[in-house]
Amino acid sequence: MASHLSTKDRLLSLIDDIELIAKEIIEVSIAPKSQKLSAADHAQLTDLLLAKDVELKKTLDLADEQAKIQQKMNELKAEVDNKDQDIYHLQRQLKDAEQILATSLYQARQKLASIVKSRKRPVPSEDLIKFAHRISASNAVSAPLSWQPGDPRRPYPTDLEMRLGMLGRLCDLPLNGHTPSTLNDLHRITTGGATASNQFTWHPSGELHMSVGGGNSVAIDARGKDAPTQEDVEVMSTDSSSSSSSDSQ
Amino acid sequence: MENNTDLPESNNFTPLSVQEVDVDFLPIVYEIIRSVERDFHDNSAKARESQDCSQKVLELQKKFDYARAQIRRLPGIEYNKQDQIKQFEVLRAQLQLKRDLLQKYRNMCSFETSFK
Repeated sequence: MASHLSTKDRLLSLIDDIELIAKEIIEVSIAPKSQKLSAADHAQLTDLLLAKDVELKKTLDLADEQAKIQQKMNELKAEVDNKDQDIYHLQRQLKDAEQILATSLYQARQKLASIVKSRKRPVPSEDLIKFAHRISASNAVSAPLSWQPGDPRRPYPTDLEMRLGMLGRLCDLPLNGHTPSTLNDLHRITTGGATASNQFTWHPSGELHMSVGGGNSVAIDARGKDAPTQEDVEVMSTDSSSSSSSDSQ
Repeated sequence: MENNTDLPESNNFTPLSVQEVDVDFLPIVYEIIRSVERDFHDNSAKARESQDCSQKVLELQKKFDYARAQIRRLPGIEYNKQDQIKQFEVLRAQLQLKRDLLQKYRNMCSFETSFK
C-alpha cells in the first residue's frame, strides 16, 4: 500500500476492496455452473478476501496507535495555546512597563536638566529669603493693615506698571509715542509731584530712568534679560514704589 | 438503505474509538455463500432461503456503509503515521521553544542589578 496515503484513505480503500471481492465471490456463487470459476480461482479470491481482512485489522491497529498520538497532540496543542496566552500576557505587561519607564526616563531627564541648570547659576537661600522679604515689605502681595482709599501704597498696579505692561505698550503703538508723555504728566499730577520723592521717571523713549545722587539719571533697560538678579534686588529694595520696575520685568 | 446511511451521518462529528468500528464482514459473506450453495428440494424453502439471502446481502451492504461512516469519525487518521509523527515533533519543538522563551523572560536580569 502506498505510504503517502493517509490511514483513513487506506482503511476506506480496504473496505472498498473487501466489498468488491465479497460481491465477486457472491456473484460467482450465484452464477450458473457454466460461468463458475475454477476451484483454484475461487480459493484465490477467498485468500485475497482473507488477506484484505487481515490488512484491514492491521490498519485498524495502526489507526488505534494514531488515535493515541492524536490525543497526545491535542494535549500538546492545548499546552502550546496556553503558552501562547502566557507569552501574550507577558508581552503586554512588558509593553506597559516600557511605556511607564519611558515616561519616568523623560521626567528624570527633565529633572536632571533643571539640576544642571541650577548648578550653573546657584542662588543662595539667604538671597531668596531677602528677596521674598523685600517683596512683602513693599506691600506687593498684600495691602498694609492700615490701608485706606487714596493711600498710594500697594497693592494695585501703579501707573508706571500699567505703562510698562502689555496694555501700556499697546497704547503706545498707534499714537507714535505721544501718549507716554501725556501719561507721564498725568502720573506726575496724580502722585502730586512724585518726581521729587520718586527715584524713577518715565521718558517718552520708553526707557526707565533712575535718578542718582547729584541729579543725574541712569537708564535702566526694563526689558533686559541679562541683568543679574542680584542687581534687580538691590534696585527694588530702595522703597515701596521701586519694586514696580523689577516686578514688571 | 438510504435511511441507514443517514444515521451515521447525523453524528459524524463525534470522535469514535477503533474498538467501536464494526468490520466483521466475513461471517456474513460466509453465511450468504452457504445459503446460496445449499440445495433445497422444497420450492417454498428455496424461496424463503433466497429471500433470506437477499436480506443478508442488503445487511452486508449496510455494514460496509456503516463501517465507512465509522472510519470517517476515527480521530487522528487524516495523515499517515510518518507525517503524523513529523507533526507531533514540530508541535513538541514549538512548545519547547515557547517554554524556553518564557523561561528566558523569567530569568531576565532585574532592573536593580542592571543599574548597579
